[in-house]
Formats: sequence, C-alpha cells, structure tokens
Amino acid sequence: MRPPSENRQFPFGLVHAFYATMGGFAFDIPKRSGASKTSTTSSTRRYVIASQSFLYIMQNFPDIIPDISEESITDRSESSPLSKALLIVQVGWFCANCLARLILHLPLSLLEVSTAAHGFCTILTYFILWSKPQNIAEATSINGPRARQVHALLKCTEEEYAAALKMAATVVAGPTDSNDQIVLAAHALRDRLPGQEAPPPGRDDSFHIPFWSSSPGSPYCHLCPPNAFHYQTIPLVIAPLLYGLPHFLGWSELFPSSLERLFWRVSTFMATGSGVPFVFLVILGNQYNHSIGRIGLGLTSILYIVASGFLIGESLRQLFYLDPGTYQLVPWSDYWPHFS
Amino acid sequence: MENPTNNTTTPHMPEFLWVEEPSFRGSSGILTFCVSTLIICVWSALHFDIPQRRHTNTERFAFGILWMIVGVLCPGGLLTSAIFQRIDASILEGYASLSLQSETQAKPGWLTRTLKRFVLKAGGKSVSSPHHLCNSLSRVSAGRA
Repeated sequence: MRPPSENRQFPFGLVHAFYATMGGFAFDIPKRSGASKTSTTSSTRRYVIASQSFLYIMQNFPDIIPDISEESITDRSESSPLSKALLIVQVGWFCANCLARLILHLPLSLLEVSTAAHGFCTILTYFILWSKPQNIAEATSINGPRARQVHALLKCTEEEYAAALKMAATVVAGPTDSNDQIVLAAHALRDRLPGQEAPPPGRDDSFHIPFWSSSPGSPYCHLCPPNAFHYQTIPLVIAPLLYGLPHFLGWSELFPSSLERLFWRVSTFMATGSGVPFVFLVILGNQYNHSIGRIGLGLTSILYIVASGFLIGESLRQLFYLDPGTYQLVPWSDYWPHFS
Repeated sequence: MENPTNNTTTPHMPEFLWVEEPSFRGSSGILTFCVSTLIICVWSALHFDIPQRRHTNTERFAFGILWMIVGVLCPGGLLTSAIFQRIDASILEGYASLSLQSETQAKPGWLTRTLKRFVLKAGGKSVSSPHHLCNSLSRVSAGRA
C-alpha cells in the first residue's frame, strides 16, 4: 500500500464512506475534441466511481480524492429531524398499541401483524443506514489532468494496462494533453513505479443498468474478499428470518377459511426460511454452474415474493372477517399523537 | 305578538359531563393506521444511491413508487442490501484510516475495525491483490454530466 497522503483538513469518516459507496464521487472527463464540436450538450462526460475503483484510488492515488467536510455532504441530504420525529412517533405508537393488545390478551388483526413485520425490518434498515446521506441528487466532481490519467488507467483493458505499464517504465515524462488512453494511463502509473504489481479492479464500461442506477443499495457486497464469500450469505439468511418471524403471531388468529389459514402458515414458513435455499443455490451456482445458480435464485426470489405478497393480501382480506375482540380499543391508545 | 319578557323559561345550565371515548375502533381505522405506518416505515428506509444522471421530478417520483412497492413486497431485500452497503462503507472507512490521514481523523468504530481486520486477514482488497471476479469490476459507468 502506498504511504498515506498528505494531511487532509477533513477526516474521512463513515458518512464519507457511505457517500463513496453510493456513487458520490465521479470523474468529469472532457469529451474528445471531435465529439464536442458536434455535441449540443455539456463538453464533459461523467463517470461515476464504484466502490472497488474508489478503494483502488484511495490506496494508490489518494491525492485526487476531494477533501470535503462531512457537513458539505449532509447539507445536501434530504433527511430532516421532522421526518425522523414522525417515524419515531408513529412507530412508537404502533409498537405500544400492539404490545398493549398482547398484554391485555386482545387479538391483533393480520394487517397489524404484517405491518409489525415490515416495521421491524424497515426500522432495522433505517438504523443500519443511519450515516448514509439520504437522496442526494448529484455526485462530487473529480477533474483535472491527474483525474484524467487515473480515469484512463481505470478504463484500461488488461492488454492496455500491460502496454501502459511498459510505457511507464520506459517513457520519460512528457506532455499529458494527449487523449490517448494508454499514454494517460502510463502517466498515472509512472510515479507508482517501481512496485506496481497489480492492475486496477478492471474495466466494465457497459455495466450500466438504469433500473439499479437509482436504487437504495446493492444486492451484494462489493468490497468483501472473494475467499470470504460464505460470510456474505449470512445476511441473506438473517433478513428473511427477521421479516418472517413476526408473522407467527398470526398463527392462531381467526381466518376466513381453514385453507387460507393453511396458506398463511405455509407462506410464513416460506418467507422465514427462504434464505436457506437461497444461500444453498448461491453456493451451488458459485462452485459448479452459474446458470443453475441463477435460475434457482430467480425461482427462490419469486417464491419469496409470492409468499410475501400472499401474507400482505391475506392480511387485507382478513380485515373483513375479524374477531370481534379486534375492534376493542386499548383504553389509553387515543391519547398518543399519531397518524391514522 | 309574544312579549319576550313573558318568557319565564330559565336558561339551561350545562351539566358537568365527562364522556368516555368509544371503546371500539372501526375497520377503516385499523386499515389507515396500518397503511400509514407501513408507508412511513418503508419510505424512511429508502436511502437512494446517487443517480448516474440527474433525474426529473417525475422520474424521482416514479422511482420512489417503484421502490416503495419493492420495499413492501420484499423488506428482507432492503435489509440485506443495507447490511451489504454498511459492510462496504465500513471497509472503506477502515482503509481510509490508513490512506487518508487527517489531523482530526477519528478512530473508526468497533464494527469498522472488526471488518477491516477480517478483510485483511482474509487477504482482501489491496494493491497487491490479483484481478477479482468479473462482476465485481469497477462500475465506471458512463452518463452525461
């Protein structure tokens, strides 16, 4: 690893780290002169830096990472104390109400059971992402000659990287206004010599899926080491388990029909334990056949969503067949301010 | 014509009264109570990544609705994704304490320190590491500034 960069003014904390993983830093690279003449849009092209690339930059070219304060990130975040207060009040009232009903042996509706399961999962998600800035519209730009060089290096294919490394070892420092990728990459590598043993994480320009481009996260861990793959499966088991377990509260509730009760119980088991076959298929696909793994994962995901959908649908349907005791109010519950 | 002064009726004094709230709730009350809690919870849990390009208000609204539906149908997926992102952020924070030094650099939290130790022990990402899985390559994605 490269020696630490010069002292920075602002510490790089968890908020910065979340900001980087959510695509908070991007290269703004000037378009080639020919393209910019015909282009009616901006003269630069934006390349969002993924977590793996950011880690590579942090380890090798820390000087190009913008020295920004935590406040400059959080000021652009849409999270407000009001929304947090709203969440706490509403969920507090919901939990208090459910607990009071259980203590007083008053039945809960399946919709309340289902909402409790959702609430539990989403509140946990909320606290895990506590330091993640919320809904920032635009990334922080990294530009300049040095950024162009590092960007060119990150875009190198293995062959281009080998050529750049060779050039960096032989070529004397020259002008860097060239747009040639290998030359730029060679300039980036030049001051890393000797000692540059491995190329950057790799090139994948085409990995741009619009559906995920505005997602609340990623379906897998980007920075976990490959040989720690099995540890990555732990959240895949725990998350469905945490969602499914509260549904057992509806085990002996009143259902419109015995068939629906059976389906509820089966769906509860499916939702709770879906992580186990999911993990099994991930390992199977990873070790033997990727296509079998993907098909299996697709099927398991569909089953999980069907089970989850049934639990929600049934909880809405049961609203018309409630136990009379469900309508009874907990005496003090109306004195808690809430939305209803 | 009636003489108002002939009206001998004394005005009613209001009785002291304390009326209890009704001790029953309705189906619509249960429904709105649960749905409002559900919406507030799922919406709060959605922390979007920065889009590749700036979205219009309509697009943001559409994405919000889409992910609300995903969050309602698959809250476990949101939780898993949050755990993975937290691990990624902790690993980055751990490496930052080595690469990006600041006079006021705070000591990373216990989770970050544990994850960093774990990653280093597992021979994780470092300059000398070889190429990794193809699908974990850099997402240097193109989009207009």
